[in-house]
Amino acid sequence: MILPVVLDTCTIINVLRIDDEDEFLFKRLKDLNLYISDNVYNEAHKNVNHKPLSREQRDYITQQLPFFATRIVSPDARIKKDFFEDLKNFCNYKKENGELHSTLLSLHICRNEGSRLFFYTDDFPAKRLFSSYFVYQQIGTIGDSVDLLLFLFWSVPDFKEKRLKEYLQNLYSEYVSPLQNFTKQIEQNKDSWLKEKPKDTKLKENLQKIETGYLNLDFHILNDAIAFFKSNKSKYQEINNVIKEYPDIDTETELTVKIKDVIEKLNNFKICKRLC
Amino acid sequence: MSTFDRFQLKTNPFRLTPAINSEELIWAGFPEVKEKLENRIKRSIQIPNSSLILNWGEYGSGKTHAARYFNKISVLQELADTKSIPLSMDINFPNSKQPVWDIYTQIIDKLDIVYLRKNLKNKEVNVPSVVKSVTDNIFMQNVIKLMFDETVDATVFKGYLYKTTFTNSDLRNYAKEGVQRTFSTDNDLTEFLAALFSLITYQKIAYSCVILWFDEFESISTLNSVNISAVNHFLRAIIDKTPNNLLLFLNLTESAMMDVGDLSEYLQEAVKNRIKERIELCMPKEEDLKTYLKELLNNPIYRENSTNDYFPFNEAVIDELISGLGNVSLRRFNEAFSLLLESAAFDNKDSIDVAYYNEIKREIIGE
Repeated sequence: MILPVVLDTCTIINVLRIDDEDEFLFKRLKDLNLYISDNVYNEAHKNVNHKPLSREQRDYITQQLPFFATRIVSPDARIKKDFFEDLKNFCNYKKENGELHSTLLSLHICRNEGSRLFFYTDDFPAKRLFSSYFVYQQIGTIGDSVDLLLFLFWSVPDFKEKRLKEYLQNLYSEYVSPLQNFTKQIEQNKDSWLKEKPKDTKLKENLQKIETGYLNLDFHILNDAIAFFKSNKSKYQEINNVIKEYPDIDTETELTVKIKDVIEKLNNFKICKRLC
Repeated sequence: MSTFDRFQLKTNPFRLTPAINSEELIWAGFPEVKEKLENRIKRSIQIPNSSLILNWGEYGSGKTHAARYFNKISVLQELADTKSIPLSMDINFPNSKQPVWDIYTQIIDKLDIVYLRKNLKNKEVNVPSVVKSVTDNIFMQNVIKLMFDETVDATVFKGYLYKTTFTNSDLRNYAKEGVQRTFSTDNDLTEFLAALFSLITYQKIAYSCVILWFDEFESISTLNSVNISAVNHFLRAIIDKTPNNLLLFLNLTESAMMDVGDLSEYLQEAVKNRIKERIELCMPKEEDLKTYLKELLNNPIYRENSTNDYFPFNEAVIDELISGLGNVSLRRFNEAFSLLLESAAFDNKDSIDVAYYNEIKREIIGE
């Protein structure tokens, strides 16, 4: 495919963490018209040591990362000068992280190549935030790891559906475990928290929301409850200590729900492969 | 004086999570489910065929409680009557990267080697001769013989099974008995467990059967594809290699992550075909709940002298609460009754009537 693709740190790590020994996904990424920003490359190196990965996954990702250095591109100075501050103001985003730099890079690639492109990131809040800029500047589309896997599946002739389902299951497995552990920890302590504050209906209601959100895989309900506890840190210290152990639980849950949804859809609706 | 004395209760009987202490594990109400589970266990105590049973229901419907209750020695003893007791274990379904090893480890954790040796010796099971008929794998025969050899230190042998505390020099001592290596593959673990289960239940002499309860089996849907295959292979192999006297229960909680209909996605045909019965733990109906409440409140561990009613709850309160909560799990009812009881104790009430319930209804069942 010749359309440009820009990758964010979490997507690179997510795709590589579920890759097989035959490097199937890595090889498919290499075939893309791929670009990454300098910040993303540095973040990937840093995050590989911080993310909860197995030793095998960490070794594998570290081994493949040097390839991505060959795809680093910096936005041209004029674009940076004229649009970087603009972009930050447009999105009201101050953090100079991989997502922000990738968005600027996307603008550069789009205008430089005269082509719309795909930017893949698994940071859902950032995705929502930058989407409006992508639409306004008509840069292209923002997707996540699941979208990228689906894109690779239809565009690569020897990418079989069984393999796609396995990758999705593996990605789901990576993301659902923290959610499962988080809910379990809340569940185990629920009894004593409720007994301490038997008249606190908000506490009861929000603990119930965590259970319901988890059982129904409804991240809106779950995130609502998490936001409630986060906004009452001093009142619910112990609960916030558990939440602190899972800093990405809200965005991770969103991806978990999406993967599950796609796995279910695949059982009923075929994805059209590239016509050869 | 305990907080609940005024209600003629020793403590709050409504548990939000299943008890672990076996003395606190009682069964109240739901006679049909109890009977189905009892019949399955009795059948395995009496007849040889191995079986796989699926217990399914919503979150909080009592599956974990059932597993713990039916692992109580006194309950198993009563079901066995004059026959040998089953060896029963509950296992938390692992959501790790090495699920078969985790299952194996949980089983080993629960094995008392010294007691097993004693029991088989008392029942006059001749291990060296029986082991030949339960496995044709010479290495496994030798491992089992060592396990039941009273001259072999049981603690060191457990170290061999775990591998973690076992050194090469320890292994040299075992090599002359034909045990030249430790376990390395999932297949080794399955072969060993199958041979062990077959040996200790041989002709139902020492144990009538082995029962494994897998709790939270729905977690299979959260494993990666390689481990889903590994668990399937384990289940198929353990049943194939232990054709007699093995009873497996799989507890499955239905949720958006997995329901009974999704089983085909995660269980291979070969395993699914081996499920002999599906026991559903339904949402409780009004009559179920009332029987449950009466039995729970009047169980001797909570109340000295049975009042044979719903005291301290007025029956009208129970009706109100049931209609207020609607179709929810037993756990939700337990939570509501627990809160109602605690609040009444806190407010120094002598009994719980509709007027009091209405006062605090919002706290009990929400909006």
